[in-house]
Amino acid sequence: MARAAKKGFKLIPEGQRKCVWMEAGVVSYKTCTLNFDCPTCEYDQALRNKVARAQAAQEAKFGRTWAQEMLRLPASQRVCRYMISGHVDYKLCPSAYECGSCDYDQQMQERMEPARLPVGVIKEIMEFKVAEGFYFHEGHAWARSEHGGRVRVGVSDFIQHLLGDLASVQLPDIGHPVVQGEPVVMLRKNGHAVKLRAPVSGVVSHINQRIKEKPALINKEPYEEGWLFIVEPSKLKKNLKKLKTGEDAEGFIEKERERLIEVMSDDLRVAADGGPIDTDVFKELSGERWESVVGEFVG
Amino acid sequence: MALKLRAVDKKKVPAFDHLLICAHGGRIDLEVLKRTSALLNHLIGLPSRLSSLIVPLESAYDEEKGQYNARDILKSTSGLVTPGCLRVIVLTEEDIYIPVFKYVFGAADLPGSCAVVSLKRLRQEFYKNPPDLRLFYKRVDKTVLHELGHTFGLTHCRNRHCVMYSSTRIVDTDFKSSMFCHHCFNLLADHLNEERLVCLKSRHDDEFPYK
Repeated sequence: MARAAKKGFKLIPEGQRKCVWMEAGVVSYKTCTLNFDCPTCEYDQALRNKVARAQAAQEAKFGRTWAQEMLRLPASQRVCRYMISGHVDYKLCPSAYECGSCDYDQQMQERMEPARLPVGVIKEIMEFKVAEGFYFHEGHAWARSEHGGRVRVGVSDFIQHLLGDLASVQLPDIGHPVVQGEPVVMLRKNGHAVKLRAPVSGVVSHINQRIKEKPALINKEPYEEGWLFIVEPSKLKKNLKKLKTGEDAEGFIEKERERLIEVMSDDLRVAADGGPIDTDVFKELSGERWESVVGEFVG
Repeated sequence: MALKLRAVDKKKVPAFDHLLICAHGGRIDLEVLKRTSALLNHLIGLPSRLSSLIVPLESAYDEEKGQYNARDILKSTSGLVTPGCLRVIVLTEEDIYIPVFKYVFGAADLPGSCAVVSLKRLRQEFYKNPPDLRLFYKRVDKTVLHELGHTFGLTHCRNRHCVMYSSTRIVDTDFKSSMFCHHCFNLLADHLNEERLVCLKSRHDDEFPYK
């Protein structure tokens, strides 16, 4: 006797959304891990390949893609992927789930790009702030995955204390390819410059124009309005393995703090037993000294 | 009892190996100087002398911060090093800083012969607590030993119990012991002759139980 199917439902953890394949009923359980950036999703590609193979072999199971399954529904239930993702309250699919050629999809992509995800918990590691969910490169640039699989880039609170008041920030052009660990942003002060390295590889899709006019935003809100540019990543999974997040990031900033004390103590030829780092430490750095000390950390 | 300090002839300072303890500004309690001298004698076996030379106050004062620059105090102290004087330790009642830190409990030349310790933030009164002389002296002992360690080339230690652990806040000073860990002890031993080493080692083996 066939075993009766188990009755019940699977809970979607808070803050997560159903994958479109689950929404269409092709798979029983799958949540989205890539902010509905289906064109770059490995899971989506794998299932599409599986469907193609199943169709070639004329197998009944996995015979349809999620889009085909959705199209079997009555028109009133063919919800747009932006409704599934929660970006809009109500929208039905206007173009048979061909998102690549859908005007509404393009419009949403453009609208979503500048929207910055809110920053969650910001921890204080001694005098320096570390934002949770951010990935830190050893050169003190941070990367954060956002909607559409893009990655926003900025600088750590630690390094902004060393940078101090910047004269100008030279950002890469939109469309410029960037490589993890390679210099990408030029930060200038009093005729001296340091180069910030890219935390991930990809192509620059957006730059923060406000930073060009108001570099002080980097000091004021390094994890928020002080972001530098957005990248369409090419090797995100591989790149993220080389970055530090969570406790690793906190440990990294702690070690960098100790290194700063060592660098400055060597420079001053004084060792001290003492209090918190003076967050106006940049005032002690000028000209070539600024360039060499900051370069020590970002270079 | 406040120490009345007056300038003396440098030639009167004994010419054998010793530590020199002097005041910055002349507002130091004599008892603190005497205790520090006795401590160093007991711990490291180095005779220490109280100096009646006063390191001048004004030159190191930073009006913007309202604090004294420890680096400048150390600079003006370097002239006190005479033949036979191994290290000079300056005690001050003023709040001191070095350009990296908002304030410091103490600072030392790296490497060098001079160290300065501020008593201001070692007192319970600074933290709006009732005076606690016993705790204050413990803090002075630890900070003096820490700075002396720096002058012998020791850097900060990761062992929270070791006296060379870097105190960011006063609770760190309270937590650490007044002893060098095994690693720092061995480094310090390289700088001391056999006689001093025996003195230091006997106490070290008895009293440093932490790994």
